[in-house]
Amino acid sequence: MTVLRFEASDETRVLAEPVFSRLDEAEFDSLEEVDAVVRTLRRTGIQYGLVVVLVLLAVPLLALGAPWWFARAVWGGLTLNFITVAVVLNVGFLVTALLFNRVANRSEDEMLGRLDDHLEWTDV
Amino acid sequence: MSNPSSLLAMFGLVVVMLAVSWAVRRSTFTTLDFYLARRQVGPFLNACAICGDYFSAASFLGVAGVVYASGADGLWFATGFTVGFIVVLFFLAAPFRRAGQFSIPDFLATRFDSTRVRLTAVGIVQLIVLLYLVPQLAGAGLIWEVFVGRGLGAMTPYTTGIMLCTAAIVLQAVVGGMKGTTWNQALQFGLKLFTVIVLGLVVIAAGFSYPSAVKDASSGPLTVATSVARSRLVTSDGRPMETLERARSVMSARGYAAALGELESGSPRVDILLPASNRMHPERELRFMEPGFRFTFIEQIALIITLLLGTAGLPHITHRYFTSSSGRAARASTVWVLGLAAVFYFFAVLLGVAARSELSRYLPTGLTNADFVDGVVRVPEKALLFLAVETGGTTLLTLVSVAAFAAVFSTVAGLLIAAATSWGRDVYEQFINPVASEAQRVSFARIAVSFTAIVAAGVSIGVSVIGDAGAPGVALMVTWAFAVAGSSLTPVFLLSVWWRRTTAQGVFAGMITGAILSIAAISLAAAGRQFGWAEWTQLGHFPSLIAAPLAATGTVAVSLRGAAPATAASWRVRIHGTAPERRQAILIRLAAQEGGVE
Repeated sequence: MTVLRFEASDETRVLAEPVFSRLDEAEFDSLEEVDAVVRTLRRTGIQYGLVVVLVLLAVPLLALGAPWWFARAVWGGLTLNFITVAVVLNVGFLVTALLFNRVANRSEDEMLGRLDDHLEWTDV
Repeated sequence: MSNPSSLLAMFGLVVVMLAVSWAVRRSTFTTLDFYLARRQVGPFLNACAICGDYFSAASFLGVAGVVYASGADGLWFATGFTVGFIVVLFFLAAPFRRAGQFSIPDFLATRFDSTRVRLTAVGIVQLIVLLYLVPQLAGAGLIWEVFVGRGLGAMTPYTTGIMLCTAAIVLQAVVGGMKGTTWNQALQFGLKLFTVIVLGLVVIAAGFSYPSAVKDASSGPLTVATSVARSRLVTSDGRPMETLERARSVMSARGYAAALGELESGSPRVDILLPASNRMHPERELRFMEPGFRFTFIEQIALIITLLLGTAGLPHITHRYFTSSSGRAARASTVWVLGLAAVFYFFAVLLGVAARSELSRYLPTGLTNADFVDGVVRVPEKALLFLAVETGGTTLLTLVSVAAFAAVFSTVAGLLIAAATSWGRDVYEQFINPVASEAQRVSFARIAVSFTAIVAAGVSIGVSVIGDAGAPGVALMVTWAFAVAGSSLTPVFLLSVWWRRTTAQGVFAGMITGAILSIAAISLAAAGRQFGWAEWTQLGHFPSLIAAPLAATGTVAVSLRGAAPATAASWRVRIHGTAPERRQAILIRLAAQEGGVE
């Protein structure tokens, strides 16, 4: 049985070298595939980013011209402006981040990689 | 507020910190170990370390302080400090890790094969580190002054705090390298989070209600404690001027009597409360729940953009992404950071509100002394400390004091490692001794940590950061670091990663443009604040709104005049491809099937 130690000695690195070489040949990214991923992630990042920026900019804009937003208390002394900046925005950022992370991981999984998941040790 | 148990607790914190570093001292033999913890930091641990790095004295004491002093406007600091990670997540986290470099200058110089880009980036990184380090160490001095209140020998308590904290952090970083720093930052973040949650729960248990507190705090005009020259308060024949009348309208009878007493005693300056002017709606009386204390509309936008872009350019934050185990892990770390930041800042803001509304319940009406003017805290950064001592006594004060020291330690350690990596990797190994052995390189890294710390400590002692009239305060000075980072580095990062036509000349032009514009704007704003120049100069505190687009435009314009680097395609595959991570995953899986992984 081959014992593969990651961060291991020179001896085990020598043992594993053929495996690494075979994997390098079999598992790679072509420029076309990477370009497709770049376009997808760039588009997704810009779309999600625009939503974040627009929401962020809407808050001071409302604070400039809408007294119901910044001056009228809706819960105790809390205004919509106060609640949004203190709590809602941070929760919104987290939800957006979770969604983006899922899209990014899925895009990379679907658009990059060629070896199947049922690979056997002897295949490499 | 001098408290012996705080000194003891701080000593305990230092012992734990050094013990952690000592435990991992054998992981600092190579530069990959010392600078990057061998790139084996998992997502959650890295997220905690990033939070430890990021939630500095500015966040721990500063955000609660700025909410206390500014009301609704102060909330933007908490939001802005968080939203910057969105830019990191969407555009930079995974590519940074996949690039496999050691530092920001290393990343840019390798991408463009340019010495000029490397050296320019080193200069900017060191400037940002200094801008960030100085207020942290000033915070250390302030915390020592408040909690311990004693100096060593002829040194003031403030100077003693800076010197001792610097020495402890240098020792920790030198012994434990990045691995020790990572574990310390994660533990220290845990302590900070625990503290704000405990303090929040204690305040709630004592009867605090968020909506009612904001209502109470907004029941009258928002007031600001200030020291005003006698000549602005009374005429030469002793008649009260408008400023004194305005003070009387918002001060308690006892507080106003104390101010009059000062006037009668012939004091050249008198401490009074004044109603804050409303910068967003000048016609309205400003209340705690409304925006307008600090920012006009355009300044709010400028602050948001500056903080949004700044995080991605902060060397100690980007450096942590180089330690991730994979690009995907780097992204996952960032999602964790956003979650942890949401919890941390919820409580930090709550505590700022609580300090504004609840302190008056505990303090005598009209209290005026070295820390208060008519019951309002003179230095907002101290508001959290007073809230702790009034609601939880010595125990809670000790907890807050340790967490405050932890905030300084974790951030300063991260900054020192980032600065040392830049000096070591980008200067020493490239230009001074390219054939240095690993032992020589690690030795230089340790020297660089010490050198950077000594310079920052010297500047912190020599420059007034907190308290004095015209001093910027911790939160604002940290914002300057964001401004330079967001104006000079973030635009070129985004273009280097996502636009294939970017060239070395373009990046150089972009960095220089952003750095010069941001530094000029900050200098103008600081001078305007000091000398009372026109209000529009204060927009210069947040220059990224203009400087970042101009830096990006400069990068694009100059890049379009040249040919894209020959390595652009291979670089793209390297930072956006996932083949190395897939290979690693396959090997781990296959080895696990064989039962052979150890």
